[in-house]
Amino acid sequence: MINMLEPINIAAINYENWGRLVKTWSTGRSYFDDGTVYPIPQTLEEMQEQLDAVQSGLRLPKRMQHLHVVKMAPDTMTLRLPPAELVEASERRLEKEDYTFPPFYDEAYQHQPAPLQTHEDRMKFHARRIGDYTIANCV
Amino acid sequence: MQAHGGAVRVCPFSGQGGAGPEQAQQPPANAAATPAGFRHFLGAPTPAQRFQVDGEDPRLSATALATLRRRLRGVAILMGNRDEEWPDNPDLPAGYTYTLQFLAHDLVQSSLPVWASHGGGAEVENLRPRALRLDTLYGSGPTGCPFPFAPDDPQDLSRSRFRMSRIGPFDPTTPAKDSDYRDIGRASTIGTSGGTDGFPEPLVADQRNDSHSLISQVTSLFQLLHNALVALQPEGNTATIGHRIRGHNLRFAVARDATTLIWRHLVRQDILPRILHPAVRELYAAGAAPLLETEAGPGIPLEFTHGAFRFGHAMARDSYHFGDADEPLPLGTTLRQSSGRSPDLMPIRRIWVAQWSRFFRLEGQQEPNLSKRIGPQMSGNFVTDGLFDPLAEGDPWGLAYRDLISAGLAGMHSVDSLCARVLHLQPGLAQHSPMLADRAARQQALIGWLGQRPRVSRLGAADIAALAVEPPLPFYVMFEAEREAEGRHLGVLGSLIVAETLHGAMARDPLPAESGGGDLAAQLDRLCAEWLGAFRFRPLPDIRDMAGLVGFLARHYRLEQVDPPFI
Repeated sequence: MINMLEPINIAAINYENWGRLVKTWSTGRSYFDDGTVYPIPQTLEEMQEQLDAVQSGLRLPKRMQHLHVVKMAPDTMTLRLPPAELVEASERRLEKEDYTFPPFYDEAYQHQPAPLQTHEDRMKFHARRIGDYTIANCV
Repeated sequence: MQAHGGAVRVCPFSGQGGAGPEQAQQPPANAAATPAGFRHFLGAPTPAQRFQVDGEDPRLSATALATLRRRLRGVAILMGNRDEEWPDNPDLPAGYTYTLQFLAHDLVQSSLPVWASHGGGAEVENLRPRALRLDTLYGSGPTGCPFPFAPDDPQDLSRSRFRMSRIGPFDPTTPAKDSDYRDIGRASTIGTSGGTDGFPEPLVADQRNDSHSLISQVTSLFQLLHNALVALQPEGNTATIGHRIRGHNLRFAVARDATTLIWRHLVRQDILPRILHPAVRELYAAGAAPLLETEAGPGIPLEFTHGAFRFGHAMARDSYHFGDADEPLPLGTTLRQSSGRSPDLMPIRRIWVAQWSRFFRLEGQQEPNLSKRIGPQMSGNFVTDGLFDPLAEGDPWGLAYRDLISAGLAGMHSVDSLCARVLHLQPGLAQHSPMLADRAARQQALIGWLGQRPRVSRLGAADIAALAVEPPLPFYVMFEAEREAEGRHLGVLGSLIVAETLHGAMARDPLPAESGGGDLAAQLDRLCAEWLGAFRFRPLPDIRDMAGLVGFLARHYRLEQVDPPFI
């Protein structure tokens, strides 16, 4: 049975390769020097193949049944709302645990951010992060 | 730049310089030499017996090297995509993955990885002259390698115990408990930390033993064992400074020998039986003497170091439960918990402190994390940014490629050559391994595996056929384990290389207390009788397995009920 709240494993991801693949899909220009064409995928299977071929480390969870590609335009406000279940699941997690950043921040800046000590601090940060990635338009 | 014989000496991993992928520059003239401190399993191969690429030695042919890199890229990508549902190994708790890594460090220490060298040759050397003597833990001892050891007195006249760090985060306002000193020693050197806070220097004899939080804690288990064996010995005459120094030195020496005896006992009686195929285990059960390499010279076989023993990388899980927290911690983050990578997070913090019942099967305790079944598949965590980045433009990320390219450039026996020689020497093993006995069956099975997902691997039919004829040895050993042992232990060929190398290394270089034979208890008593008169270790540290080691330490240091939990 598919668990709709199954989290995407973001810890294993190679963010650099994932980012290069997104840039490739976005611009139509390959960011991989391997002579391979990576077109915008039309199916989940095709997407997973490309994710594996570029070593993104990203595995699509089984709950994903459909692929919906949105190519944003500079003159269009695209409002991407995260699923309510996942927002609430992360809120529950933050009751007990600190916010975790992808490890590449630590590698780049050679320093872990200081822990957020209270639940209130974590919820405030959670809201800011959701606000950030919802309005950010790939800079 | 011209070098010996007119060959151009360049790094094989340097850029292509606009040339086609199969037109790399020439390898160095000395590329075909066997690196110092290494040797070959069952003797040096003839050119025809070596691993080749389309009939050429990739160390001597730039074209073969370029082809090898392209093919291994495809194999590595296939190996690095382990399915999340890949089964656990009920026979191997996860702690053994990292005990095996520690064991590897006690056998070999390369001056330079083969993949980083100009294809091997004179640049690569095994700096570990003695195998399974715990030189990885002790280095050259307190005199030659003092920093892992704590001074015995304020004048620092001797050092007999390992220096342990208090588990973090460091808080000078909280009184330390004895049970907090469970991490390896770590130090901060002012002004050399690149602007970061923390402890960037691990105080260990072998820096590889702090490459992540699990290997550093396996290391600390043996440091704690040594310290316990020092503490159990009588203090002796302390009337003068001279007496005290001699006493400390003697206690260090006896504890070191006792720890090494116990370590070798664990290798023979616990670790090897768990990883060997039953048919091979049986061959070595009686005498533990080498069966095949009766005239082996010094050094460790490349077919072991760069071939068979890489299987441990396939055992790593995607995540581990470390302590009493509910959520497991990902391998990718685990591999960053070291002084080198994350000095600001050192010493090891609470969430990374190993509760050992999570890693070894302790009687009456919870079920541990299990290792993954052995197969040609590795955790996707190994491709995480910043861990095992590409060696050169166009190379893949991850550990699998490094294993494969090192194997390809080590000048090892081919799989065909090894199978043929093993069958000749031990024909009875054929009944336990269809792939060992039947070359066609072996190649057919390999073609089936290598042909999966060609749009991901980008391997063509000719590449697949060539790889099936000449599979890289570390890949084949993992493949054999999956096909012929359900991944629960090594297959026949992998087992034979591992068993012969480890049993042979111990048999050819016995410890003084081992020479008289007997079981561990007898050997420990013999050691004490030689140096300490009537004293005997009591209670006897009759440690039969890694769980027994944890139990002994828990009792000795009273760690049964501590926070964070030890067992």
